[in-house]
Amino acid sequence: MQKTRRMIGAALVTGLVVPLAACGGDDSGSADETLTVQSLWTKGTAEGDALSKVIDQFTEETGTQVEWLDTGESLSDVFETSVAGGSQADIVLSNFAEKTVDWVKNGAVVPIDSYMDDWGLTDSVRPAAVDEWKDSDGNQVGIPFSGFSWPVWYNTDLLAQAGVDEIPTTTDELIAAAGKLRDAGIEPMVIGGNDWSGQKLFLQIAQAYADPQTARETFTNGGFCDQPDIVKGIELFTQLRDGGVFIDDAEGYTADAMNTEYYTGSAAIMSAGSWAFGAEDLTPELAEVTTLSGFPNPSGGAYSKPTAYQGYTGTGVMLSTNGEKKSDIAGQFISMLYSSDTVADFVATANLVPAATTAEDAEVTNPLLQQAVSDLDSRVDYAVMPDTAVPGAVADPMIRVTSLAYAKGNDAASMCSAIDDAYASVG
Amino acid sequence: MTTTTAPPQAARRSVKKPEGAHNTQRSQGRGRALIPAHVLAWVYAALLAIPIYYIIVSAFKPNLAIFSEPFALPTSLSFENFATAWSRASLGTALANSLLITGVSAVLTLALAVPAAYGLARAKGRLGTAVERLFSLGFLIPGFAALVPTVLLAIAIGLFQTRLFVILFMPATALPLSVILLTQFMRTVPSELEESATLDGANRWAVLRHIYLPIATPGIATVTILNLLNFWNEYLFTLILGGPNPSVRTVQVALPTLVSQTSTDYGVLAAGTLITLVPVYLAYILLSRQMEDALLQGAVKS
Repeated sequence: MQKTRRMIGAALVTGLVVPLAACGGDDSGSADETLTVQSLWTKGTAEGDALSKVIDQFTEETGTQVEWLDTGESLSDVFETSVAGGSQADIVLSNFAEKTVDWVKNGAVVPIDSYMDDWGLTDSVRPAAVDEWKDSDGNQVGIPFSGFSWPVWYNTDLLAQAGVDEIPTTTDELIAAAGKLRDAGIEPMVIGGNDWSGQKLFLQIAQAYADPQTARETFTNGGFCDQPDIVKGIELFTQLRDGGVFIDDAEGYTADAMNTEYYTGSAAIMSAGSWAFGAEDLTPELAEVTTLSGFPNPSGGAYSKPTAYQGYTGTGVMLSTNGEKKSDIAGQFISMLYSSDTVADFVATANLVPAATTAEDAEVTNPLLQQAVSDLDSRVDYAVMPDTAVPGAVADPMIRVTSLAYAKGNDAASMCSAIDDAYASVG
Repeated sequence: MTTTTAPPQAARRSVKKPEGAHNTQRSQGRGRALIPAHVLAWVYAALLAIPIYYIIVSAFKPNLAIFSEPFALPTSLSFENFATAWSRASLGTALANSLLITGVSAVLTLALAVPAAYGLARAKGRLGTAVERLFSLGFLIPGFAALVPTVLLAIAIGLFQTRLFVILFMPATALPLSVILLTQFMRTVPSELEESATLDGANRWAVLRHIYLPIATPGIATVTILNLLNFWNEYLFTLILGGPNPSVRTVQVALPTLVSQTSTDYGVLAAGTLITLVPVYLAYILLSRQMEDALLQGAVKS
């Protein structure tokens, strides 16, 4: 018994105390001989796998080790804390929204425009995409890498089953189509009313009567109730909601639940971005009968065609102050990321909409991406993308308000007032 | 005779019969009174069991099945989701980190809390009371309030985003409760035992080891279980203080990398969650048995 106790004690010392002694080393690491890359993309995803290939190739060609921090959704919190400790990653691959918008202003990353010239990337990226990565002071926060197309998906098979022969282009047609779909036992439009997807659709409808400049200013500064065109748009939202356009209990759905309703054929319409084109649960048969278009317009609206979103704020490359110290090697890695082979691989395997011009002839194999690239522009007008205008701190409280908007009984006045309160609450 | 004996028998029967009936009625009444308790107990059990069932069945399903038939049994028992979660979130390394941090922190906590509790339990003066109250003050500091100063401290001493700092930090958060609980357990030890041992030549350490520790074993087991659960499940501080490096991060930090805002594979996420639950569940099962044994021993000794 005593012997057993001693053995347990020895095991404890060996197993716990000895490793503890090894913990004192610098295991946080941005060592000089390695390049640290932090990304929203995680291992095992299509984007993560494509990035992993770049990392392997870079190490093979340059001999430089790359430490990959696939932090996913906690990226911005972790990166900002790391900045405080001086252990931030050298290169950050993230989206341009909420916290990241202010990262040059607060010193978390460095302006990257001069490095774009040094690395020969200025002509390799679409100018319009580059502009989207500037903050309000004109600082170039990052180099856009991938964008997105955010259309409305229509299951033409289900529409036909319900007797809807044409994809609706006006809100009156949409309400009529929703009635027919409901009569046929099919949910009309599914939306994740409980999260960001519901917020984007809400703001897409809210700006239906407003010109782009008014919409952008309102999204940036608030004052929804003071803009008659925005209030009119919110009233349109309530008409659509009360007209049965959205799935029952839409306020309880998330984006993932929305996808499932569409993928299983329970709902005929959804609003989803190009990131969903390659979803595993989307069958080739469903993709074939899916037509991408925009959200129908009201009569007298600001746009002549149905509206969709697009943008290049999906993923971009940022350089930290640590990365600036090894800008040569960081530049080599970033240049490899924008090479035609790499971009083509991202397009082919991860269905990304590239911001780079280096792979214009990249083969697009995904049928929905093909449709988005070749046909969507002729079918839609592009509305103001809220992510580039709504302040980051307002996003979460606004989503709480828009989730309530999908529940019947909330009128336009109370909704715009609640949104303005969200702006006021963050100053 | 018969006439004289019969009445008492009859009387006894007549007395017994109402007693039996009364007992039956009483037990029936008690049974009926317990029905709400039974119902509440089953509802509570269901409340605990349903989420566990949901996670287990989800771990064997694809996304579509999770959303369309959330509580249906899986159609196959493939472990593909588990393998995917294991490789995508590097759960092997993360589990090793969690075991290391949790284990060393728990040992360190006990190494500090047991002597402190012994000292406080035996202290008679005002100083002892003041120190005990000082430990109690630890409860008043909200975790979030300590976050920023702790980060600054870690940066200042050059241990930011290292496992060592997390290991040192965990006991600091657990010490107040551990010391207070153990002090109460040690106060139950009769002072005569210590006096007797001292007369026999035992020093303070011998008294602690041979008298206090065996009697306080129930408390030590309880504190250990509480600390192990807290250390294992800690997310915010391990995320910020430990950092995102896959070679350092714990399972609680690794697991959310399976979540994506645009497309989360919930089957893989559920499988990963189950993997992270297994070690802590096993530890709980092992320690809870020890705790029950220790409680019985304590009862006999007292």
